[in-house]
Amino acid sequence: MPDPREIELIQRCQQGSGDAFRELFDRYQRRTYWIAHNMLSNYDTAQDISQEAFLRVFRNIGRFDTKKNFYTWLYQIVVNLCIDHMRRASHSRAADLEEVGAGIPDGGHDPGESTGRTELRGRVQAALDRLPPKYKAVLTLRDIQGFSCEEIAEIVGATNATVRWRLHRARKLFKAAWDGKKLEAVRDDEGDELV
Amino acid sequence: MDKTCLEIRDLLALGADVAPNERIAIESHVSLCAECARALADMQAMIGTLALLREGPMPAGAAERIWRGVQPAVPGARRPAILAWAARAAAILVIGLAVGYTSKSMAARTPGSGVAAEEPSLDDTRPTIVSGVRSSGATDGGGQDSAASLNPGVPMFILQAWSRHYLPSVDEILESDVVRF
Repeated sequence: MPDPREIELIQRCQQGSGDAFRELFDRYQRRTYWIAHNMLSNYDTAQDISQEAFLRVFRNIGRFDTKKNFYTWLYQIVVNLCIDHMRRASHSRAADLEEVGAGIPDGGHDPGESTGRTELRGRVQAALDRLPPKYKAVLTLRDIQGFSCEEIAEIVGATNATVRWRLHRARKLFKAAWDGKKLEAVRDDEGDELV
Repeated sequence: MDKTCLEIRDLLALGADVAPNERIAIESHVSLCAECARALADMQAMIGTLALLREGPMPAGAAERIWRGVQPAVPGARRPAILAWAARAAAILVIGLAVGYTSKSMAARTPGSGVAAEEPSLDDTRPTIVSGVRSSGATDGGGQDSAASLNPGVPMFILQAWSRHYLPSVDEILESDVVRF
């Protein structure tokens, strides 16, 4: 159920209030950034994607139905932009475990955290980066960002069953990547090439 | 590994998203099968490692950099909070300097007063440190009278406000033998 204060902000945005949009931005910028960062593991690209997502939201907010959840709409834009970016850059296809691990930016985590923890985080991100975009998206949203399957279904525009299936597949792929196994080139049941 | 083990291992990847009947099947199986229990623990630990990537604070300045790219498209959006505070602080500083300058100018125009301040008496609990306008009068309230005579068109309450400010006098800051400008 959308928050009444948020509905008011959206309605003010629809009437052209820049201040209301700034407030919406303040509410969501952090998570928007982190979803993009988890998906792309790049500090600058995550900022660019976040910026583009907010610009698209502002341009299209006039058509937004306040009965829907604003955040699922925003994150849908973010995830789609990330997937689009990854496909264009052939990110997951070209990614080599070692290269990706070495290129992980600090991204704002506690600078005082132990080297071991930083390395472990790097390995986790590197394994995640080997996943195809749509599996990476569900894993990011579920196991990193903690959204429910229902919320993810809204964000990725799929049914609950599809999300559950993708999660199942994504975790198996992640485990294979984590164990350092080669991800086999297979096609999934939705007809998309897995790796 | 028998057929049941294979089916259970397959379900483990669903993590916390298993259906209630699947959860019961897993729980009852792992209570009897040590290998599957270990596989369940491994899967849970692996899913747990993903939480390491959970969001922390944003990198310094990232939010404002993102907003700077968005703001030109958003008419009438307020400035970032830090800039708004800086603008407020600058405005307060300018007003403070203007009030101080005005009072000093008025004191300088008062005959015989210069910029010298009266010595604050021990029983004077008012916060005023410099009161050039008041210091020009010989009697109580003389300062206000003098100020009024210098500025006949200015209401008395404004002059009273002007006569009370918190800037220290030159005499309090400088030693007597220091050349004043």
